[in-house]
Amino acid sequence: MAYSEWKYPNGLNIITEDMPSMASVTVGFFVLSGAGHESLEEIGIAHALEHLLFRGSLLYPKGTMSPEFTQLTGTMNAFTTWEYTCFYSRSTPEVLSDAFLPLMDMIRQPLLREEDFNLEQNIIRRELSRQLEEPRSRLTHALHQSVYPGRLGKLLIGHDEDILQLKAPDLREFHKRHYIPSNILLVISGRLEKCIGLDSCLQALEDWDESIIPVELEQPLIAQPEVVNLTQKHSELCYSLWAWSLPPLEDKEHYAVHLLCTLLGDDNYIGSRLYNKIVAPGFAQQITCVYTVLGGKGLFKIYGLTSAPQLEWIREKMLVELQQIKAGMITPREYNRAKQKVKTQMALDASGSHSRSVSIAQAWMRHKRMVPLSELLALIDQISIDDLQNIIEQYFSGREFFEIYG
Amino acid sequence: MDQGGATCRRLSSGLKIIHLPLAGLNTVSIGLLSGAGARLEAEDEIGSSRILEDWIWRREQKQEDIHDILADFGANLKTSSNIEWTRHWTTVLCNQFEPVFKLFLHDILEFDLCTNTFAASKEYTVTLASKRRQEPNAYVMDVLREKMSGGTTIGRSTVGLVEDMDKLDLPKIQNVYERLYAPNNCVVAVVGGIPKDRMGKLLDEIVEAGDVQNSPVVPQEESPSWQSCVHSIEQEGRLVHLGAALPCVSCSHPDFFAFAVLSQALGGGDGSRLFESIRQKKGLAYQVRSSLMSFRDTGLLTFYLATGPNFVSWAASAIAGEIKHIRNKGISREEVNAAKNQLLNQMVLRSESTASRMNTLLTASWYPGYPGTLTAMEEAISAVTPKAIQSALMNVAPAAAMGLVTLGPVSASALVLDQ
Repeated sequence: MAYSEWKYPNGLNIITEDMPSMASVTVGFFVLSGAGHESLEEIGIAHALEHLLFRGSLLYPKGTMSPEFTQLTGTMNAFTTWEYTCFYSRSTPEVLSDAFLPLMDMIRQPLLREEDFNLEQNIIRRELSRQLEEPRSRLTHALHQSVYPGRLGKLLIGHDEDILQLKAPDLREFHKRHYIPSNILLVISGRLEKCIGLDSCLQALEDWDESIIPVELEQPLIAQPEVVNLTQKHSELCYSLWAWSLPPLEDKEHYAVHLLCTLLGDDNYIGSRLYNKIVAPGFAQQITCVYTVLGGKGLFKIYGLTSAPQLEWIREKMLVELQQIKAGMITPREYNRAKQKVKTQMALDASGSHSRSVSIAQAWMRHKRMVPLSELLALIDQISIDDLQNIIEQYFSGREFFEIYG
Repeated sequence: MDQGGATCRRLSSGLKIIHLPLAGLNTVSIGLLSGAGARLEAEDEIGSSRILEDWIWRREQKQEDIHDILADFGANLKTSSNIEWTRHWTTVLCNQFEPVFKLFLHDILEFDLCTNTFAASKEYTVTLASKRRQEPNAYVMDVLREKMSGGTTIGRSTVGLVEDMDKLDLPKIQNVYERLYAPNNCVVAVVGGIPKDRMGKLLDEIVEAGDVQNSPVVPQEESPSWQSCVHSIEQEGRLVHLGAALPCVSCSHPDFFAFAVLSQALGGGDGSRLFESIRQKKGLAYQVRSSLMSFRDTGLLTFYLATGPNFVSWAASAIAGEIKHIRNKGISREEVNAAKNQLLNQMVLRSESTASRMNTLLTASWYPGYPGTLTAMEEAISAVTPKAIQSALMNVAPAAAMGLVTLGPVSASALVLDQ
């Protein structure tokens, strides 16, 4: 897939990737600030701003969720993470500019009206209520509370009191500091050859001046974790989360730890180590492994779902499997299987313009440059069984270990 | 991006295989739909299809286990189901296609019903059933359909009930497998970067298996007559989940696309009527959705939202009010055109995914009359007029025969509708 990467004098980074077999094109503005860049007085502001931007901008005061837009533009949506906030449209290439220009304007010059924010506060509180009903979301939050002492230990979207104390001027200030070209990555992926108006859209970005001198972004707090064992009420059906605190792994180790997650227990239905040893025989209903990095700290997480009486057995079995991997007991077959699964997943991500744009942005944030799919596949190929073994040996012993049940 | 290039071949066992080659893709989706669902089960078999959905992939732990071999190819297995069918599918790289295709069909259609893993599958399925209550959106829709069904088979739970599954034993499930997973009661679709000649060569090699049946098993009862209801499941919490529904049509009915456009206009996403009135103007809900729930002989037009206990009556009245208004006064051409454009856009965007196109082919093959190509679907959507929507609504749901179910801190008696 052919790609281009460049930077405008105003600091805006741009990547385009042509995907000739696609029916759509995705425009993704990745603002490189998220909830992790908030102070304790600003909890929830990044997510609230994400909501409010859709309510209207200087050139499009009715907002981009109004009926006249939605019939033209396909999908237009956004999401907030700890590290960045993404606004994207996915449309047919013929109507690219109908989606691109409003999207750009809402990021660049949103109205951020007080009356709109009052409505959005209510909506965000309903969203919060939904999140508080989701077991996995609650487990992850309980883990973050234990691991991170500062902002990262709070809910990403904030609690009621956080949301209610935010004011529209606070949002304007946050927007002014963070929504500047040098803090934004634009990714356009999909069927570029069919795009109408792409050049003029890109030209429109050139006169986007830095409205203020870019400020150094706040660094997320580095956690000072302690060993915690949170045990909540054991119900008949038990959700569990075991987590190890790891350093933020870079380069080859970063990909090795993701391969280890796949080998141990990925979202795929079959064939992982913990699935075969624990789920397939019926001891648990679900076991999945995830590695995340946040606030200068890595977390290797294993989520489980089982009946309460099985919990202790599963915990022991899982630790035994990790010990076996540490002792080098990984068969070439399961190692190759994990690699094949990762490669298939990468191909699937690359077969949709939206998922591809997110993958491109995430790799860019890690490497500070465009990383083609072929390079990522080559990186996966370089990982050996020893690399996987080393991850467990080096980083799991003597590290903080968290257990959360509920 | 039309699906007009699809070809269909029926093997002597009765298994139908549809193939849609898409040049330039390096992935391929393989899906099998079987007519296994709660609606096709006898009273004492209820829940069998859901156990089979998992059990088929849960093989004995032996050295050359078939499902480990599938995983070796990176196969990403998925399943989904409703009360009339079960789908199994996978997406793999094209260079892994042939062995995965053979194993996939072998695993499902020549399943040896291994006794050692039966208990694990039953336990897993029972867990899923008991977990359903923690998925409020799906759960209120299950209860809504059950309450509106008047006790007919169409009201059966999608995931099964724990008490039903407790009664199931292996011979009963074996009987369901032999009946509902017979090749003639299944259809296979292959969509992705596999050219016609490569597919044809593979099909020539396939050794067919399984008993031949004369025709697919379809529901025998008369189409149910939906009943209105107001029901609440009281539980603590901050939110009330509201499910509402109106009688609708099957996906092969001539009015199906009129309802599809109506659903889009009412609650199909950003800019829809209910999204505007409930979320954007009042800030009362994070998500407001309407959708069509379609079966072989009937359907429901459903609505879902979650709001605070003090606003649920208002929100339910807003839904009923919009329907009444459209039934009595009609809907504007502009609004219909906007909804049609949105549906057409979504259709094109969804066509990008091989899995999505494979699922469309399976649906079209399973429900006679449902358009199987993008062109046919585009024509059906484009033909919908404001008049067609109003008359469809008047024909199918002439009165306020709505069903309402809430889950949360509110009682049925507290639900007061303005309409």
